Amino acid sequence: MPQDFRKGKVLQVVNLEKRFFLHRLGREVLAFQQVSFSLQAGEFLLLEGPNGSGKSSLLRTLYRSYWPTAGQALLQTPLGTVDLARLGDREVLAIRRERIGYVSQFLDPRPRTTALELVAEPLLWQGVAENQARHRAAELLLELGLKPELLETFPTSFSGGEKQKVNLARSLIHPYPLLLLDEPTASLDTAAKLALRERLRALKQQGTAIIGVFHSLDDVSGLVDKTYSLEVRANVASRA
Amino acid sequence: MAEETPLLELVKVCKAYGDRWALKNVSLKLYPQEVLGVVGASGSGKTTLLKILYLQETAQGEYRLNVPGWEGRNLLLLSRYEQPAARHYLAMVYQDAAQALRMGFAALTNVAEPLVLRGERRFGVLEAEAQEALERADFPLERAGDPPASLSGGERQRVQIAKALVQKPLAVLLDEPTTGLDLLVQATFLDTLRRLKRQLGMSLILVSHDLSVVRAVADRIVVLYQGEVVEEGLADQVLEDPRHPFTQDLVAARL
Repeated sequence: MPQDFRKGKVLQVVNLEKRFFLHRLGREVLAFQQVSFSLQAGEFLLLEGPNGSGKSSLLRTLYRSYWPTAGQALLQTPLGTVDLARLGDREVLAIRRERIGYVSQFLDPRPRTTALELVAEPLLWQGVAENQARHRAAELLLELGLKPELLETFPTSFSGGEKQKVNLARSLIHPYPLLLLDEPTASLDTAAKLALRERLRALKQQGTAIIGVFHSLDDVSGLVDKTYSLEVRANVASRA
Repeated sequence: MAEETPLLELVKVCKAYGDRWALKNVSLKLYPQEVLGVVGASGSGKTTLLKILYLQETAQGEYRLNVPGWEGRNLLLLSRYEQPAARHYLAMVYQDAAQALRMGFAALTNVAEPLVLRGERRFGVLEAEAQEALERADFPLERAGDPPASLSGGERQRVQIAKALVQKPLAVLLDEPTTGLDLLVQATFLDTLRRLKRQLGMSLILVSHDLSVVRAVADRIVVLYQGEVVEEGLADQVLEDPRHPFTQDLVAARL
């Protein structure tokens, strides 16, 4: 386990902006603009704002599922600082595998892949042996409260909460330096929420920086170090 | 970060049939252990692109293979006597198995044929290698003696995959390999491709009009529209944040 991210700045976001150009409608939609913040190792940043203020879009842009239209997102890596807004596709893939975990609101389960395989996969990328990866995947899934008989079955048939447990486990199994959480608790039961909170606390102590969207602040009580309000920033920007 | 070396690379490749452009300035790179999806509507140039990649079609531009002995050479300028040696690094899987297989000969014979053409004459070796390839392609070995004519569509595609694997290519080119297969057969076939990529570290170029098929296996996607690459990105980027009008329509039309 590399220790390089235990201290110091992990991410610096400068005037990041995302617009969508909808050709069929001939319209442009602003997701967010002039977003700036920085994040230290072990810090938890809570994103605030009403529906549609661009919280999820911001996370997706940092994960580079969306192309940013302006600004910078400078990520610290052992090889120096990289700008997520300008990296080539292949570099983004490498950065994702090693440095950024992302939990979406919903799992997009790959057909005919078992829960255990999905969760063990990120460890295989890190070079962990297959049986050890599967063992750790099973442990984490059980910790989050997945029924043991579901480990070797396909998540396509799971309930919403069960899918979300798989989704979470897949992103939590490797201690990424940066973790992006998009309302991961929405469909979870109380026990799983508590298990998640403890897991996040442990990750923070190991130096993982977290950016999260949570509608219920109880789910992250005692974890949040600072907040960033998207709505306010957008208003400030439009007045300027 | 250090520049990666692609396994193969097209630079500004153009192809015209008469006064109609089939491909215009197409550039793409395939990296080791990568699945590159090529998506486009009928007539977008997908098949022409594959023919050029498989050296079955001439074109203008550059085509480079980063393999010892071939560095710096433009494969589009090879004489037809040199082409087979370059083609050794590649294998093609067609939508219609009848294009690639001898429908009346046993599956095993079909798979062993490329080895025979390369000079292997020991029956035991031919049989063992063909069986291994069929097994890797998840083909039911008890049917290895049956001719493709009596096999199902999904089984025929597996025979084609095995025939490709037995040649130990660096990259496999697949032209609409699941079109015409039912959904379950399609899903298990895509499972096989994913496993081959993971276990053998193979590079694939998967051409399809079906965005869902490509999404299921590709790391990166290139979108062809009227012979041009109009969009290129990670699979999730192209699907979640399509930027070209054609790609936006394609994503919106996805079931």
